[in-house]
Amino acid sequence: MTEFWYVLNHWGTVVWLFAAGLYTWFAVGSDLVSMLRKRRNDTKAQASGGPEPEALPDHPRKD
Amino acid sequence: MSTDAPLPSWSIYAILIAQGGGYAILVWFLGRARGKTADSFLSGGRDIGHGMINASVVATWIWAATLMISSWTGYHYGFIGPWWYALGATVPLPLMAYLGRRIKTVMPQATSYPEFIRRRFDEKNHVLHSAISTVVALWITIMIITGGAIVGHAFTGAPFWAIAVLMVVIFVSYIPLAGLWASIFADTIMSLMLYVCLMVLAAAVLIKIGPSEIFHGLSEVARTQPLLEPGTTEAHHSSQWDGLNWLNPSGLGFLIVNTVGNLGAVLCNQTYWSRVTGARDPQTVFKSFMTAAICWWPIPLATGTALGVTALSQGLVVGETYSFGDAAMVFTEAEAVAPVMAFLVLGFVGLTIFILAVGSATVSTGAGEILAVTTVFVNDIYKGHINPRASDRNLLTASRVSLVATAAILLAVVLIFRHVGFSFAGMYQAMGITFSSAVIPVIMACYVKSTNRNGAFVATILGSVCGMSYWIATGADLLWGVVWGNIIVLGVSALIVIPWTILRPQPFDFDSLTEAEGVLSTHPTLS
Repeated sequence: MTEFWYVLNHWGTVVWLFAAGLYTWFAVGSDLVSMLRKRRNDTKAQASGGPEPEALPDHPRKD
Repeated sequence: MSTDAPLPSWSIYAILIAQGGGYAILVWFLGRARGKTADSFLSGGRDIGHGMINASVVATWIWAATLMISSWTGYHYGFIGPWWYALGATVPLPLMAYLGRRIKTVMPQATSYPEFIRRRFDEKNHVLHSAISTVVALWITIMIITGGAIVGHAFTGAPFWAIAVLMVVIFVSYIPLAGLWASIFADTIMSLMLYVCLMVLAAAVLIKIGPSEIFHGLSEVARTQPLLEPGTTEAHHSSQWDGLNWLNPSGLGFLIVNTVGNLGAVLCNQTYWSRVTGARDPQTVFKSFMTAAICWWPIPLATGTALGVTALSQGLVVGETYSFGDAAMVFTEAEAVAPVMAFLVLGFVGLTIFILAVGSATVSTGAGEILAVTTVFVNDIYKGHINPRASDRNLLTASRVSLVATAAILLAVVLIFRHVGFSFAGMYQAMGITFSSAVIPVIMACYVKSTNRNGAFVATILGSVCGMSYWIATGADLLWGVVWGNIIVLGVSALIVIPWTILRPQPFDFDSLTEAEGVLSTHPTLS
């Protein structure tokens, strides 16, 4: 293996790690923002007289 | 200064207590509503999005061993070692993407994979897979707690038992608040933390040493052939002197072991199926496991390259003492190459970052595995067999009691094993050989509608027996004995179930699963 390929390999592993880390941070951030937004909307709905959303069954059954 | 334990013992306590306390507070604020019903406790509400599932799978598949052994492969096999390690361990995740999407589509109400097996096959296969899933999760947890406590003890001097107890207490501190959601949420935070730790270490090596110097160091090792691990075999040394070879033959064997052995550890492990259960829909399952594979791969690859390969290029010798400024540390064994290299690059900061990463990896995986045991116990054994008419309150209580009881039993086993000096050498390989025989029957259960139920059952047992017999006959050889043992397990299993299915097909209607209620329904349909 030549020096060029080794340097490429080493840089590649680091760049890949950073890309994976940034993607994970972005995806989690996006999820958490959605979750908090949903909680805020649920709280508002509850305050205006609706049922507490999370008290509902996860999958209401037909029966 | 003493070189036995480079960090003070309070550092490991601080790291673990801060993590456990932080997760408990966050879970209580954000997710305690998920602990109100048994179904949401064990299924996480079935509405978790891609970001958290992706991060959770990454965190669950990262163990302390991932960071330690990937670096060891770099030190042992050169630059190709981390590639083989990462490739072999990544393979099960894309496979899980397909299987998880399939089960989430055909049986969206399933809470555990043995529950799917029960409806798809029959009672005996259900019992078999419940047992396999439980043993896999328990065994992995024992190895994780032991490994994490050994690393913590080696680098901080804190007693082994104290670290093990603290870990188990952390497992049961936040999981009972919200069940699966708590586990996935904590995984997510740990995953984010882990990336930051590893990015700092990888960048530090890049800046302070640099790839060109590492290349020249590897060339020098190949030319001068120094004895880096005194007391090991000639084959061992040859591998280290071949650090720039694309086709290091020992590394190829490691690839096979890692691939086959890990298939069983993922596909027959409820921890990963729980992430399928918790996900919002089949598309989220598929996307999350696929991206988790892509995001997981660079973790052992970059860590092994930055710490293991660099250590080889610098000619680090096992048994020598290395210093950073005024501080010093002994390179006690080859498997500890990662923390030693982290110390040499960033001093105590590097070592602390590495210990933080190991602590995160241990807590996230251990908590998930204990919850997996609880899920199988409550969903498949308690509700499935012992008390099919259990109320929701009963199930919730059973879940929490089971969680604490499992943690207590595991802790006792860990401490007893440690006390009697039980050796874990080869146990992970043995687990791969024992349980990978279930992989092909599980895949066929998902995709082949005519799979023979008896064929699947016999293939799972006989594949395991043949593989184990061969491995024991080789004297539990940890090199090519493990490789062939793994190949035999998969081969025998396939050679039984595939012809059996062709000769005696048993057609099954997958649509019948879609409308089925889950086991946690208050009106049991299983009897």
